[in-house]
Amino acid sequence: MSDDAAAFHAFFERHHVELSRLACLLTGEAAVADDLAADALTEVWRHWSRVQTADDPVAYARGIVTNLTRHWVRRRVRERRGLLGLNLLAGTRGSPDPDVPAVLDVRSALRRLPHRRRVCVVLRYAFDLSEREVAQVLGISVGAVKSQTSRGARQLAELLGPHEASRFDGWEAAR
Amino acid sequence: MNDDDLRGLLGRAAAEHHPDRAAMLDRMAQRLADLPAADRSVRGLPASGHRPQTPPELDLGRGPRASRRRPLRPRIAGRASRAQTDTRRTPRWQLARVAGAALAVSAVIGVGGVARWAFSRDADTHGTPAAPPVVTLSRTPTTAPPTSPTPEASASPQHSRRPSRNPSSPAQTGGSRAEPGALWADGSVVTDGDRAARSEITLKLDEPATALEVTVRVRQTAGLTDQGAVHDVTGTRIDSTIVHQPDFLVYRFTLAAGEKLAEGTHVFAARYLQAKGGRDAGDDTYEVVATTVGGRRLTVSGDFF
Repeated sequence: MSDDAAAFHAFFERHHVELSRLACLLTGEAAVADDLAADALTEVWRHWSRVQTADDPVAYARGIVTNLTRHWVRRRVRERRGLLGLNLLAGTRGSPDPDVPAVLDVRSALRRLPHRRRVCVVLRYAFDLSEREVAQVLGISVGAVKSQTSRGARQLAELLGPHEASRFDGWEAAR
Repeated sequence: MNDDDLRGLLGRAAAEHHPDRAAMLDRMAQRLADLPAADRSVRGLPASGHRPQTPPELDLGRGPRASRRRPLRPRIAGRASRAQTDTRRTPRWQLARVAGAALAVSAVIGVGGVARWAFSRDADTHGTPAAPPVVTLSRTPTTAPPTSPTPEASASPQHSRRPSRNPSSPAQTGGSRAEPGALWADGSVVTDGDRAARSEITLKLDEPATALEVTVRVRQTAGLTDQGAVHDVTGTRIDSTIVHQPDFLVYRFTLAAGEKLAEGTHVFAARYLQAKGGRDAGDDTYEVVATTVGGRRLTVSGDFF
């Protein structure tokens, strides 16, 4: 195995879960997340010698995931426009977790955020990236990340509302 | 709803998704294979540049699991097959897929774990070896026999003795009439970097199974985060679930109804992130329940010491 391949292999093992989860939250659909993340990783591999020498290969990979998911969501919206609502939840994988309804609500709430806000909120809150790291992924300024994140967080909190909070707390308590 | 609430909700929503590693590798192999030759060179660089025109051979280390979208070539790896396939002008990057399948096991299995035979506890006249068997694997596809990407076990008493087969005798008769080869399992913990690790169950079946359930219980130690359940079974549907219990993460693999799992060696892995510096696997356990085509129900359980 060449050094390049070995390095990429390690990169894949370290990051494929995170990248797929990112795609999952950005699209709201688990069923396509693996494919989108895999496509992003394919791109990373195709440009590996350049990516490898970049400051932050992971930021590059995350950036590709955000682009691919934006395209996917646009295409999906176009396809579904005019149909009965945007029932993107159909086909989402089942899970035995008792908090699945809450999780799906989070996903559907996230989908209502504009793309850039959604990316900022997801990277900051779900993946705990710093503002600087998010700025690197999106290629925007740290100031823009700040404002996008705070707007996105506020919008998301409104969408989820007290109803969501109590359900979540209820589940926690029942546990 | 404050920031911490949001953090909790979003973190939970992210963790709820368990990617299918093998499917992702399949998809990548497919994408690379589908690229038109002209597009395989890196855009923006002259084709005659120092970069290869096709992606260099990529060993994805994927599980020995056939692509869902396109069957893999017969798994002939190594120099011989390369020469052979090259004469048919198979691009090297396609070979990578084959090599990937063959290599699958190269990433696997460290050392340790007490190997257990399903029925051999009392029948093993050689006794249980004092030291845990060390399972070693071929590191390279050029030497691995890819038609059976199974871990080659080093000389250990378990492997050197063969059961004296008496097909007419029922398996479990007071422990004296054992069929050690029927079902064998071994648990080991493999770390992969700072925090990533997986608990692997290596399973050997002497007979195809019509039902199989592998359960891995991983104690909820500080910083434990599940990272999915994976296996290396080829072409047979295996469902997996991960249940978060208060004290344990419970990973369960189930052979889908109507499917048959071939005899041979199969690896099931519970992946997770652990706190830096490792974790105590002392409370972790696994259990395997299988029903063979012959209708025998076999159970084996163990830990990760």
